[in-house]
Order: sequence, then structure tokens, then C-alpha cells
Amino acid sequence: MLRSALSAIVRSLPASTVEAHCDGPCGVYDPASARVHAEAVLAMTKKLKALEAPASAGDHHAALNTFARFVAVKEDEAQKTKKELLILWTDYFKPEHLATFPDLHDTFWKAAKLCSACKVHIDQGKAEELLAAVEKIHGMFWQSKGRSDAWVTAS
Amino acid sequence: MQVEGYSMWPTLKPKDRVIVRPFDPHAAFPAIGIGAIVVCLHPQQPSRQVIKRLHAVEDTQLTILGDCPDASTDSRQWGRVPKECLVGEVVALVTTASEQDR
Repeated sequence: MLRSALSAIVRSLPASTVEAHCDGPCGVYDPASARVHAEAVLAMTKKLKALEAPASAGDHHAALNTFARFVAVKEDEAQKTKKELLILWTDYFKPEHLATFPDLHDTFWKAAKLCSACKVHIDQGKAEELLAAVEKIHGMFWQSKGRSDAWVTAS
Repeated sequence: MQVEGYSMWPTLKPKDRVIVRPFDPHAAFPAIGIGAIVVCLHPQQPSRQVIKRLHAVEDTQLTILGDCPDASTDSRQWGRVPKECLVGEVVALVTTASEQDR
């Protein structure tokens, strides 16, 4: 009884965190993952904008199917971009990096917002802004590692 | 302090709480025995505090290891940790995850 009461009291007290884990399951981070997905978002946005109305009524369902598939892939790739960015933001970058990159939080926040905008709209400008944001993060990431890896896109 | 992670499993589990006696920087060194569970500043990221077992003391350097090597980053990766990183020694395990889950 006394032990339970004491445990309950202790559990209710605020406690700072002490970490008993490894620094990461693998410790491997690379903004290239976000870049590939962001490129896919831009590519799918361009494909959607290039779609033409079906020439005949018989092509209607095929056109709808293509449109739906393109939208689904754009949506999926934008979400994957956001996930990869959040991993970099919340797992790789540490408070110490804010001294070097005072706009770190703002950069990631705006990039994540762009991911959402690319899902909501078919907006090539937003998709290009997203890729540019990922390029900026690429630069911050490699600078934090003392490297200056070139920005190379797949497309 | 509340434990996060499994590097000290099975001794400590996530959500366990420990009472830590702060290290007296003026005390004779080493004031903490080999085998004690200690809290240290992460040697590369001082804003983080880690909990490990004190494995060896050489001069003013500590070797600290997790009880569960597969889930631990410790002196195997960092090398010896300077004594300035030492925050304190765990003197009591207050609650366990299993108690909290009841």
C-alpha cells in the first residue's frame, strides 16, 4: 500500500528525460530521400497539367482513371516528402544546429507546408518551390556535416 | 528522471524513473564506483543526457556502456568520456514500467 502510494506520487511528479538508447537505429540520414519524392511531386504535377480532354466519349473512363492515378501518386509522393523532411528536422537536426542555421525551423516548417500545398492543388509553382526548399535543406544538411555535396537531381 | 529507450534493458526500461544523486565536482575522483549506473551529458550533444553503466575509470576519463549493447550507443562509439560530462549516479529505481502499467 505504502509503496503503491509512493509510486503514484513519484509518477505524478515532473521528471526530466534521460536517454537510454542508441543515437539512431542506423544513424543514416540523407536529404536525397526527400529530393527524390519532391522531384516525383513536380513530375506528377507537370503530367497532370499536360493531360488533355478525352477525344471521344469512349475514352472518358480511361482518362478519368489516368487522372486519378496521377493525383494519387502526387498525393503519395508529397506525403513521403513530408515524412522524410520531418525525419531530418526532428531526428537529425539538433538544437546546437540553430546557432549555425537560425532559420532552420522556419525552413522546415515552410517546406512541410509546401508538401501540403502540393497535395491540395495542382500547382507547378508550389512543386518547384518545394524542390527549391529541399535543395536549401540539402545545403544545410551537408554543411552541418562539414561537406559540400553537389545538388544533383534525377530528372 | 524518466528513462527513455532500451540501452539499459533489462535493468531499466522505458518509463522507469530513477533518482539521481548529482556528482560533486569537488569530491575526490572517482567518487562513483565501477558498475554504478550514471547519468552523463552526451559527449557530442551536451543538451542530451544519457544513462549508462560505469565500466571503467582511467585518469579523468570514463568508459560507459549500456547493459543492452544492441540498443546502445556508448563508449564503444564515443570512446572514453571526460569526467566533466558526469551528471550523477543513480541511487534508486523508483517505479517500473510494469507497476505503471497496472
